[in-house]
Amino acid sequence: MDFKFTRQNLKGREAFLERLFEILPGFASWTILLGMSFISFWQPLLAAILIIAFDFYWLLRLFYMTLFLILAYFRLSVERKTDWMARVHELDRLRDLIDQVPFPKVPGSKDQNMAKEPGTFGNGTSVGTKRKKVSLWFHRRKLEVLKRSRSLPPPSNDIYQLVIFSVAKETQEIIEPGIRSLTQQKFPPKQILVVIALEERSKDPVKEGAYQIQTKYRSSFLDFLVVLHPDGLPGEARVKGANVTYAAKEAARYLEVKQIPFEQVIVSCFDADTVVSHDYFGCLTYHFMTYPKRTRASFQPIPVYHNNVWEAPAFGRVLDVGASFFQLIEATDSDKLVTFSSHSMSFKALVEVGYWPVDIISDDSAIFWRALIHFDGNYRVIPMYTTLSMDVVSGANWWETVRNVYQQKRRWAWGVENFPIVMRAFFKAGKISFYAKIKYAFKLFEDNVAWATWAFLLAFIGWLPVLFAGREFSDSVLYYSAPRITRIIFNLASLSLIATIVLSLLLLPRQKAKGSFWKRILFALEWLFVPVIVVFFSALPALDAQTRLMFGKYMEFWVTEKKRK
Amino acid sequence: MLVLRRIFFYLFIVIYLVFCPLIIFYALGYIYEPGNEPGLVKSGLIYLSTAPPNATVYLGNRRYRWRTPTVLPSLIPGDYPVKLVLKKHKPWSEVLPVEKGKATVLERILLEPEERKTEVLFANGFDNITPIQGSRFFLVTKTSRLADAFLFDWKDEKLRPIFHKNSSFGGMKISSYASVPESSALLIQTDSANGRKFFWASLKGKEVQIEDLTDLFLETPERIEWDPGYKKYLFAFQNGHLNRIDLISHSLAPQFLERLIGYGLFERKIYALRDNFTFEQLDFEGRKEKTLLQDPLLGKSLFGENEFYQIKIFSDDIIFFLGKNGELLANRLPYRFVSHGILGMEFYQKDKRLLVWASDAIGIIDFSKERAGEENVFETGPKVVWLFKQGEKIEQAFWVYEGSHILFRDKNKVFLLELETYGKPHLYELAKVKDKSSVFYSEEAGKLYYLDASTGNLSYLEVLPRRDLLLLPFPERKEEKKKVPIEEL
Repeated sequence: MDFKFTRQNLKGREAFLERLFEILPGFASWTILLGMSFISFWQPLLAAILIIAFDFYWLLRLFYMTLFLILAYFRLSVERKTDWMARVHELDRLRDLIDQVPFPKVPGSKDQNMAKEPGTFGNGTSVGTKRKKVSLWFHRRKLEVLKRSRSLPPPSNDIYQLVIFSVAKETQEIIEPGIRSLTQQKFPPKQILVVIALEERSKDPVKEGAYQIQTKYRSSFLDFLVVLHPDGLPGEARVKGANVTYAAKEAARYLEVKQIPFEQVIVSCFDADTVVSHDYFGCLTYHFMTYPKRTRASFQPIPVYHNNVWEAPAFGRVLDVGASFFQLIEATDSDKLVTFSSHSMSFKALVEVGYWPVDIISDDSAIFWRALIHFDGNYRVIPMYTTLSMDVVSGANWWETVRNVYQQKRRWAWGVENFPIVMRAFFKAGKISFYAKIKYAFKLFEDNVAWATWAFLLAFIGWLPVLFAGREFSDSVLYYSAPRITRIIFNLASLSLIATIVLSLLLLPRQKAKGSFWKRILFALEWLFVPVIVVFFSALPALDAQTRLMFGKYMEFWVTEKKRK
Repeated sequence: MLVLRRIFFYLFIVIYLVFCPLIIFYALGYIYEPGNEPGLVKSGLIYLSTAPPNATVYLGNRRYRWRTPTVLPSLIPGDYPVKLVLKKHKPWSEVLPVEKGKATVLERILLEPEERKTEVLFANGFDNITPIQGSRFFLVTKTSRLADAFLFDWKDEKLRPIFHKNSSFGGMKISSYASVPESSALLIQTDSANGRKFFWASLKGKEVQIEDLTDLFLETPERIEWDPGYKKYLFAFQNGHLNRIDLISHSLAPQFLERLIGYGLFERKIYALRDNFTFEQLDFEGRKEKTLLQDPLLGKSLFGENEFYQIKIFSDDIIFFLGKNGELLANRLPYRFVSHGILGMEFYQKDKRLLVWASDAIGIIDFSKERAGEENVFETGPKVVWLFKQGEKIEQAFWVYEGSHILFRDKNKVFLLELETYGKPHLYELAKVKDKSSVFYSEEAGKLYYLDASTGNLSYLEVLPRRDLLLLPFPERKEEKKKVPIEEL
């Protein structure tokens, strides 16, 4: 569907619908918060019942999320030792065997007939442990899907990686580790085209740093471009999307000159501080090759914030680990997965949809919605159980860090700006099924409203009925049973917190576990402050963002400050 | 993973839809009662909180596994004998009714110690205590001489003389005191061969500051009052008029207000009841701000019988009038509460309840809105509920423990009366005090200060166990010894 994914220059009905849906999330959030407060005052009995119902719902939802967090983490740990490039090479060999009947089986299955060496499949992927069996089981399923689709992947030698780093204020010391990590890939660096998307308005030291990195690393890659994005191009806001789109267009011209077909290119859009693991592009290539509709897909890794995890303040650390966990949980629901932060996608798809939006702050999620709408619902995000690492937001001092963290979270929550645009598109998208529209619209709406309201309901509003209790309520059984039930629910919820703490410790990079055992213990204890942290640095920024959208106070892009010590 | 997600999603939905209503029903008090007629029964509960906490709870003959403060939930409506037992305290017991859907709440049970903590503060033979209610001081005297009058600060438990021992006024006889609740000042009237004198004593500070106001009193007033929050003016009432004394400029405004049959002070306002039965609110400069009653018929019917009314205002909307014969009126229906005999009153602001006492009785009038005539079409207003009628000569009474108890002195005995009860109120005798001496109770300290009956020593008795009152709501303490938990009756 041809749809302009923007809120600029709308008229008539479109403008009306845009404003209506801009107001809706904030209105819903405030209605819930104020409404519950009002009911607590006016009808404390009813409010107490609603709060019990909500608390129980929250508990079950928490258990549900924790369960899939554990499963997702298990899957991540299963895939940690997978040799992705070995699998990529096997896929290359499978291309030759695609017409064989029967299709060769993967070792580990009951009727294997391919593997000459029992227990192995390809280089270094020995079957033996249960984890590897699980990994192979997933691999086998992918191959079966590929087989049924008859959609041959291109040979891995013909697949190129276009990696775009968006830079506005980051100096060389921030960017270079990410570039260096590309040189250490198992995927051939000579098949990687690196582009630094640099803002013209960046300060000279930033520009100099970018060019120095180009000089230093150019020879390691297919090529290394530094694209200067002019300031103030018509139709563009000062957003990251405008910068990377400009760079992507330059890269497209480069690829055309080199006669590299876009369908063989995977583009990865990274923040300046993104550092990938050595097998990231191997994993990405593997998923690209095994997904039949590879030019109708994005590929989402699990973001972790390990670059400066031990130097960052506690509340920033807890929040960003929470973000990683959220992505892990989302990865288990690939039907509704949306791209977030640094991610990858088919370059062909990117070009077809018109690149990233140049006037929207949340370009990372907007590109998914844009593609979904453009391809009439025939687009999805493939979760990759591999990680890439970024910085925890910090500042020169504690207060600056507080401000920076708050502003970053508010920028993340500003993803709610996609809701009105998506809703308008759904009104017109006749080819997207009604069920799919409901599914996505509900997710977009509910996720944002829950983000802005749950923490306040649990921390403050839930206690209002007791506070406002008049005699009639304070003499009732409910007045005494409600706090007891709430206490039991919160005690049960602490099981989830324990699981989260354990997983957060497991997720931490071992090689960066500086300091003693006690540092890890302190890190674990930081999670006890989650109720306070979540209210002020998650729910409040979300409510702030939704309120701004509700009143039409659109946010200018603020580049998150990152510091390394 | 998607399939697994769907399975668990629907499973959790089912769990929610099944258990959420059950939890809500349980929260409302519904329980399943097996038996001859099985089914859902709406239960009630009992909430018990004691001072000190940690008392063992017996419901009937069975010991409950949780200690106070605790909730006894899921009780079928009916009467339950409850007993509370705590070491070094006398057992407390009562039969408590449980109604469906309701909580029977007793949240300020004071357990009586087997031996109350008492201590002698000053082993001098004192004569009397004069309370200055609402302040941190009270007067203690050995004789009626000024030199034998001391000020006791119960916060630091120090005694200091009002007048220096070498003062030339030391030999004068104290004829009366005037004090105002919550004021840190005192007006002392003395007699001597040289005539009457009036001294203004400021009690705050390391030393008592004395000011001689004798020349500002042209006549001996019947009453003297001042606003505790505004010590610029004193108001002396005599023969139906009010003189205003300016303490700053040391001047007198004689007959500042005239033709009064009653007056009171509250928040820098004078409430004046005139002899034509109008009732006005004026500022301290004498300017009329409001006319509160201008109905001669009503005024006469209310105030026509007495010569003078003390007017006590405890909040913006409740005004009390105490006549010379102990008649108690208020600006709320039914206006006339007691026809005679009231000797004193104490208002508990938080619950809007007035404690009144006569020579032989203690009573309470509840002015909280939820209770006053809520079910009647014709508003009747609250009534006096007489809680104790066996007194001989009740002279003092105090609210204790956030209005849950009353401490009163009947002749030379001090009693503690428990109000939060569903049966007959518990009455405890606390102490015997020196004949014709007063007592002082401090809610903040939780202590009763008195003069020992035989020695006259200034002593205190601990009424409230202080350290145990700072509890958060509903913390429950479990029995240390494992016992069979209480079964629902």
